Amino acid sequence: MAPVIEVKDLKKSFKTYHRGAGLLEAFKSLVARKHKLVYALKGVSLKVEKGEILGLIGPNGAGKSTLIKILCGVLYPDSGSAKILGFNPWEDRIKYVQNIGVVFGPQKSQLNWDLPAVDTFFFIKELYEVPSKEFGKRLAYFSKLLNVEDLSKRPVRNLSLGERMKCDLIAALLHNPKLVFLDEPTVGVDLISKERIHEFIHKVNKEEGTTFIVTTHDMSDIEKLCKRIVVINKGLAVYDGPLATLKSKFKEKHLEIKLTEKGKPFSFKGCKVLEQKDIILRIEVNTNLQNIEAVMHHILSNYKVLDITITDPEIEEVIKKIYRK
Amino acid sequence: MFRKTLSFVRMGAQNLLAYKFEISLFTIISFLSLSIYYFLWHTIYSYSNTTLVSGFTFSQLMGYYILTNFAGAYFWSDMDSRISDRIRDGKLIVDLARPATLLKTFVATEIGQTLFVLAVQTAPIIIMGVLLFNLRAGSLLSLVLSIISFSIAILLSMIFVFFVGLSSFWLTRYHGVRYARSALTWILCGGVFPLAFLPQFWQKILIILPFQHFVYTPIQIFLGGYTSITALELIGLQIMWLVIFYGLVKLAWPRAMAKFSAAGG
Ligand SMILES: Nc1ncnc2c1ncn2[C@@H]1O[C@H](COP(=O)(O)OP(=O)(O)O)[C@@H](O)[C@H]1O
Ligand SMILES: [Mg+2]
Repeated sequence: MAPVIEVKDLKKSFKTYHRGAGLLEAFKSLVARKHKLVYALKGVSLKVEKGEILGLIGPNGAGKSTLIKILCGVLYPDSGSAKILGFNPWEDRIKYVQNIGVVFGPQKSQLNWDLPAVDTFFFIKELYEVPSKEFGKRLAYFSKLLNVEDLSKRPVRNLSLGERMKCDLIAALLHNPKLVFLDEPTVGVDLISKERIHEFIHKVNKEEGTTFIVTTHDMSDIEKLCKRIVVINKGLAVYDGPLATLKSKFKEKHLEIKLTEKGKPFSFKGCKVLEQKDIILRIEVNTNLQNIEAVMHHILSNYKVLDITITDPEIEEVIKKIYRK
Repeated sequence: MFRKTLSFVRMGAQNLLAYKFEISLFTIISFLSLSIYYFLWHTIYSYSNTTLVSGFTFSQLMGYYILTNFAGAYFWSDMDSRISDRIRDGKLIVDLARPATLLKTFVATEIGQTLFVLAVQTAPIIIMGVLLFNLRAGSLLSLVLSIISFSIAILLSMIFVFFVGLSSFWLTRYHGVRYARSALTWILCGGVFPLAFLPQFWQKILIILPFQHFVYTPIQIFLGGYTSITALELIGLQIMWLVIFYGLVKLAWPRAMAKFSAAGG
């Protein structure tokens, strides 16, 4: 079977107009506007098979949203080609988007602000010509999965960010799209809602074979949802492969320790001090050189500890390291 | 196909339901502006001691203003500002990700709003016209022809507004254009006074411009100001302008989209 998405060497630049500060500069810019090109994508290729949940990760400004917009057909690339569900997204936009679902992030909700979300749902039913029976079934099922049965009857402006995101997810899936793009679906969403959203995406993916492309900052999204990830940095795909492989390359763990009183300067083999100030101690442990139990033991026997948390390094730091390699 | 279009129309009407207060406010403002016209023209008619001004009796003229109020319901569209707002807050990509042309998205939504406004906001004013100023169609034929003409006028005026609104793809601030668009064309449309009041020279110029077909033509057809042949010719001109503006939109759209894409959405 042909892949759902096959994208080759996408490049995209934006024209931005600049001017210096002040009135004189403002006048100058009336006469001759200087523009500068920002290269957001510098040649991204991608292949996605049916039924995958692909995670797109990367720091702010990496080009994730730009990639999503091009793949949805709403922006043209400067060069490169794409075949998605048999269409060229930006040339066959209107026919193509009938087959996809999108959430462009929390700021770009498709819900009508002044109306209850159900009104938008019914609008989508008509717009995508979803049969009434199927529509009713899907809406009831999704509302239950995401726990929004009552919410969707309140004006959207009265919903919290997380509640709105859940309604947006439903809106993007009512017409049974084969392919769904989610740009940062969990930003600002509380933990419980986040879990619901993860579960929802999993269920739809399993039951309907829907392909998902999800961009995120959140490591938990990736761990819960994706087997395969693509890391984007500065407009390039710098890693494409299983999550497990990526993680095995990074053996660092972070320890954050709260002490009951100020302790002596910390130093231990395989550890790097990130911060030591009063009763706060933050260190990074390279687990290739040192095992975490030994570090804990060292700390507990040398300091008076109030609290210890162990975390994976932030996704941004992981990516920075990939990029440096 | 039709179902899709209707979905936008319905959404447009629902949009307005959320603004009940504003609708009633607009009805009040309409009554106010009508009463200003009433006193102004009352004074003119009585001081100049005539019963006819350019062929209009006083109550015919009031009927005319009531119909411009009706036309205002579709003419005073804020569709172009909405396009500009959608561009500015980056939400146009949401519209573009829907399976419809942007023209259809905006025009159909606007028609839904307009039908709602016509039903709720304008109806009381029309009833007032019928009761107080003996507002009637010239004949049954002129009623039928004016319904056709008004329907085309609604579509024409919306495509025109969409076309002008496309300029917001190039402009960082659109509101000046919008203001000029509504204020200037409202006069040229016959919204401020019947175009028959103008000297012949100006009337000749206006006849080659599209504006009178937005408002003046259907109103005059309704009032029976033209023979049926002339009315049909004018409807033909309205259709011609509809085709021209549709063609202009089709021509401008790829450029607008290219501009949008280069700027990054
Ligand atoms: N409309 C725009 N005009 C100019 N530059 C833009 C525009 N949109 C995005 N960019 C730039 O393109 C790059 C990629 O942005 P984006 O795709 O939004 O990144 P991400 O979603 O990964 O945070 C950034 O450097 C950003 O500043
Ligand atoms: Mg982004």
